[in-house]
Formats: sequence, C-alpha cells, structure tokens
Amino acid sequence: MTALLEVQNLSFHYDGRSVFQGLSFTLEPGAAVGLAGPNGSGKSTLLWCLLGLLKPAAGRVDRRGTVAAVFQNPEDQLFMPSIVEDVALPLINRGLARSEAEDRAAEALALVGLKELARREAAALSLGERKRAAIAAALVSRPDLLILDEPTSELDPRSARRLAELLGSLPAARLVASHDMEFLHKTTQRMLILDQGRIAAQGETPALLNDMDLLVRHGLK
Amino acid sequence: MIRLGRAWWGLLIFAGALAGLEYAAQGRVSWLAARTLAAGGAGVLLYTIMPWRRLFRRLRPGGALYRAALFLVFLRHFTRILEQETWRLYAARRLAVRREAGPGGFRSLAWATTALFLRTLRRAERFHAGLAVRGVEP
Repeated sequence: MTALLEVQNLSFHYDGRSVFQGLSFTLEPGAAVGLAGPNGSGKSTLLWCLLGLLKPAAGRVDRRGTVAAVFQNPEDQLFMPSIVEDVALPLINRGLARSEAEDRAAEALALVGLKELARREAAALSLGERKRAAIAAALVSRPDLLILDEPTSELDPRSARRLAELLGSLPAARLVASHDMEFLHKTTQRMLILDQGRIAAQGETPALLNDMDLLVRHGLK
Repeated sequence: MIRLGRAWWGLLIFAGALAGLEYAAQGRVSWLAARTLAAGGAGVLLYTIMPWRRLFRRLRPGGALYRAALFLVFLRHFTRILEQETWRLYAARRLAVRREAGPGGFRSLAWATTALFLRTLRRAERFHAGLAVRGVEP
C-alpha cells in the first residue's frame, strides 16, 4: 500500500537551535496516528513542516492525496460572515459553482452535527462548535489525510468525547497531535512520542499508554 | 457597537505604539501610523455599514469586487483578533500591577504594548497559515 505521508530524516532549526532532527515515519491510508510529546517538543512545528508551511533544514516530506488540517485555535481558520460560507470558501475559490459548494459545505456541517447552525457566524458559537466547524471546513475538500493540532485544548469533557466519536466515524487517515492521552487512546491506533527533538518511542497506542514509566519519562503523566 | 468601539481602541493603541516606536527609532513620525488607523478604521466602518452577507452572494467569485470584499472580511477578522489580544493583555496587566500610573505601571504598559505586537504577529502568521492550508491565499 502506498503511504499517504512519508517523512524521511526530517530536521528543523529555529534561531540556530535544533527543534527536531532525523525524524522518519510513514502514515498509510486509513491509519490513525497520535503524536504526543511535552510542551516545546516540536509537535506543532512538525505539523507545519508536514503541511508545507515551514521549510525543513534537512530531509523530505512526501505527501500523496489531499491533506487538510485543523489548527489548535479554530478562530485562525474561520472568518466569514457564516460558517457555511467559511466551509464553502475553498471550493468556491477553486471554481466550483456556489450552489454546489454550499451543498457540499452543508453535507460537511451535517457530518459534524452543525447543520442547524450553518448560517451563524463562528464568533456566535461555543468553542466546541467552532472546533467542529473547523473540522467541517477541513473535511469539505474530502481529504485523504486529516491533521489535527491539539483538538481537545480548552474543550470540556463532553465536547472532547463528541469530537472523539466524530473522528472515529471519519474515513480519512488522521494524524492527531495532543497532550490528551485519553483522547489519543480513543482516536488513534498507533502513536509517536516526540521528545528532545527525536522520536523517543513509537508503537500501538494502548501499549504505549500502558507503559507508565515511559509516559512519566517523557512528561506525559 | 460595543465590540466596534473596542476594535477602535485596539487600532488606536496599535497606531499609537507604531508612532511611538518610529519616534524612538528615528526622532520623527511618518504618516504610517495615521495610514494604518485610516485603513483599519475604514475597513471596520465599511464592513459595519455595508450589507456584506447579501452582497457576497451576488459577487462573482474571483472578480475584483469579490476579492475586495474578501479583503475586507480578512481585515475585519484581523481587527477582531487585535481587539481580543489588546483586551486580554491589558486586563492581565491591570490585574498584575499594583498601581497603573507611576514608573512601574508605565514600564508594564510599555511591555504589554510590545507583547501586543508579538502576539498579533503570531496570530497573523497562524491566520495566514490557516488560509494557505485551505487553499485560500489572500
């Protein structure tokens, strides 16, 4: 099976300091991979490199298929007068007819349970709803791979649980960067632990989460 | 209107700090701060008085008017970001300092204003990245 994402010897430097170096991993279609690590371990920077937003110092990232991302703060991605326009915007920009784009946006909003709120502005929604709207905005392009950065930050337990259920129902492969071990347990099959600029451990999510020493050593418990 | 008023405060502080930095660096103030204020203010005002919701739907995607409308939406969103960061930062400062006036208070005000620039830049970077990832380049 051809990998959707292939990372080879990836290194990134910032202000002369190495953020991470020599990272290599692959992500297959349909896979759900968690990315964990203490604060400052470079998780978000790695995601930005994977998305092509930052240029790595060395190594390569091969992406195949459509990749979409949801950032930590949904306000960085939602700005239109209504969320249906937010979700439809990239399709309209790509030349799709407005009616078709809005139909697909409505489908994506229905998938995340926000169809009733489609005409509301993002600022009028709760944070949990805004997160789901940002996911709809990512899903509208029917991505093969969905990248999520700290999806549960600032969410209450119920919203986090709903989000986990939603992610579990999606066909797209997922790469989820999070500190929330319970969320990673629910939403991923495999996990990478990033610490001090290297992949400190990788394997099946339940096995890594059961290794208390490992979690404590890498600041995750 | 309350939110709009707060946005004006954010713009005023931003432009004031810009002028202050210019004066500190070269001993004179150019029109940059005034132009920033005028552009931001005009954007907010235009956004408030124009019926964008209805207008947007009538504009042809990719056309000049559509692009102009989109630019105003970006501007309005960014003004809101500026407003949020301004109020968060100055509320935190008010809680942290014993006296708002006086040498310590003024120093903390200077730091808060500097931090406002950095935070706003960071938010702008993330906003731009959010657009780029979705294929919506301004």
